[in-house]
Amino acid sequence: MKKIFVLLGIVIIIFQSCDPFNNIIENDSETDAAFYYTTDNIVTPVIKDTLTIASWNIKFGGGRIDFFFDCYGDRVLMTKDEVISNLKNIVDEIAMISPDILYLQEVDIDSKRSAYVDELQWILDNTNLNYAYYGSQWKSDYVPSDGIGRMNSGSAILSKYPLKDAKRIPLPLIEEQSGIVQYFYLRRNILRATVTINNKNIVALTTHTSAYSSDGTRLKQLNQIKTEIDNINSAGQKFILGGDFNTIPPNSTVYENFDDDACKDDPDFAAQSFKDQLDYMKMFIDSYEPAITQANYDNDNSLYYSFTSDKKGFWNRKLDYIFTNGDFVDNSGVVIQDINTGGMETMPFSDHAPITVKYILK
Amino acid sequence: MKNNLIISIILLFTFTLKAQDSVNIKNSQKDTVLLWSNNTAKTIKKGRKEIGLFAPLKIGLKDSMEISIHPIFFFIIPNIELKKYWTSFGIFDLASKHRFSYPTLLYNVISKRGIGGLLPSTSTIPQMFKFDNSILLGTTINEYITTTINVGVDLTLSFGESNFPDIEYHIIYPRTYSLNNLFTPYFGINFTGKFFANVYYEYKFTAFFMTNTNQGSILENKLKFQWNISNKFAISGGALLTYGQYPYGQDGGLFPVFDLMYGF
Repeated sequence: MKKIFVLLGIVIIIFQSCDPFNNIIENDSETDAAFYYTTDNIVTPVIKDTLTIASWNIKFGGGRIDFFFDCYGDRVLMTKDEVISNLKNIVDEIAMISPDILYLQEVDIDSKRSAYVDELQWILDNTNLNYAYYGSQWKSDYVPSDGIGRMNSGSAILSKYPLKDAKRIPLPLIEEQSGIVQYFYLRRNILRATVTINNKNIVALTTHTSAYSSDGTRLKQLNQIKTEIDNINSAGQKFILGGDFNTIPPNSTVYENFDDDACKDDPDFAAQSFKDQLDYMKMFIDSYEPAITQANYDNDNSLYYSFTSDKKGFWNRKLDYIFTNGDFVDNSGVVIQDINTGGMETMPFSDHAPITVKYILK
Repeated sequence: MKNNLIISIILLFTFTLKAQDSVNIKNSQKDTVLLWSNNTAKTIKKGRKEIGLFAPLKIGLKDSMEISIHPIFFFIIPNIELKKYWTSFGIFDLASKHRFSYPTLLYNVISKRGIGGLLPSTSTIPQMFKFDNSILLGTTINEYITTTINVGVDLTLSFGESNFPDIEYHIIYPRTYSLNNLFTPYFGINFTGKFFANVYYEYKFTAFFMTNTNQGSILENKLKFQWNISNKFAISGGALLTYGQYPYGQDGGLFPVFDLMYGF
């Protein structure tokens, strides 16, 4: 009997050891993989007729440090002082926007590259936002590549109002990757939670789809996101979806040969081309209301560009979006590019510019 | 952490069961367990050689001295270890271990872009000479239980410009901590003996003490079972549970332990 118990113990031990780097976020349930945050300094929000919604990929508080992955530099790790300094710029920008609901992408909560600063907690503690949910998209006890080391980075929904019923819904992995690369690579997802304002429920969703894949993974991810919001819509609920879709809008006049492609000679970093992907976002734009209407975008693409990897250049493509099945205030969508467009200089803070819009609370 | 707690209880319970069984067994065949190398104060017999898939090559130079090197890794991390049995007094045996390694080559190899880059490519690796010295004090109660206490210091002397981060991964961190922090004291206790038939157990507890400010200790619990198929072949497997204070906070991990060994 004892021998059976011991053998059973050994089997359990071996079974428990199958994910030695704790990379597989999906080992947790969808609800367990969404982590709740709050701040000690709750600021009671005023109920308004319109809500300010914002979405921003903050590049893990890396500012415009030249990191190895965008070919402009070789940095891998930041000091704590660098991270805090960059986060101060980010919270200044958030204070100016004063969002009621904020979607963040590339937030590090426990990463060696950002000196183990819990950036989400730091942002909550230094803004008027009170509550948040976090869903990891890149988690590993140790990424054995490029000196990256320990990693926990993901997306977050922050709100002045209470959040509940959060889930981290996994998106398809990049199939063309080898098993070992896939094991250590980013695991994209939809993070959703319900915001209750004035007894009205709104489903808040954020996402960050794959940047590099040639096997159609991003389209599969976009289709799944579309299905998710279609289901919410069919159930008669209101939603606001925001995030970094890594995809440019239809009718973009520039879709390849971007002026910030610095990795031309590096086979690991193929220059981005959206030539065959110009209709990827059409399904969202046709079905729901975007923060930036297609007509406005068609009128002048460059006003709504939200990304560049070159700190010496300027925003050169639009990757960030907000959609709803409710109502946005007409023409309230803005990409905060600089003082002239949005009212604040954002180029030094991240490789993405924040996008904001006013939502009509009915 | 809930899983780790469950595994800890299983580890402790399985060990306790066997330890209770063994106390009434007469002291006999003390050396049976020592046919294969282990973490006791005893050395393997003169002329015997052992090598594992992962374990180093060990050679019994004398009945009281064994030497070991890791041949696979030798060319990127030159290493050698000497274990010397000194004396016995009463029921206790006294031995010491002295390991030297030169990790500079390996650290230069793993400071790279891409896969295998455990450290940033911008790292500056100094000349590092790593010395790990420990004392082992043990006693064999019977064939079912041999207990050994070991105390040691892992010391690294570095020369030249140095700028590289620690490898903050569970089992690697305490073993490489001295490379950036001069020294790592450690303490351990080991229980080993016959489990049943030709199956032997080994439970080893080790506490590493991180010497920088605000850094506590890292504890390791290893339980493995070794099936000695013959005098020449053995298979071992088990688990290593770690827990302690890392630069990012308290953390733990569970890792499988496995080896195939050949002795001759």
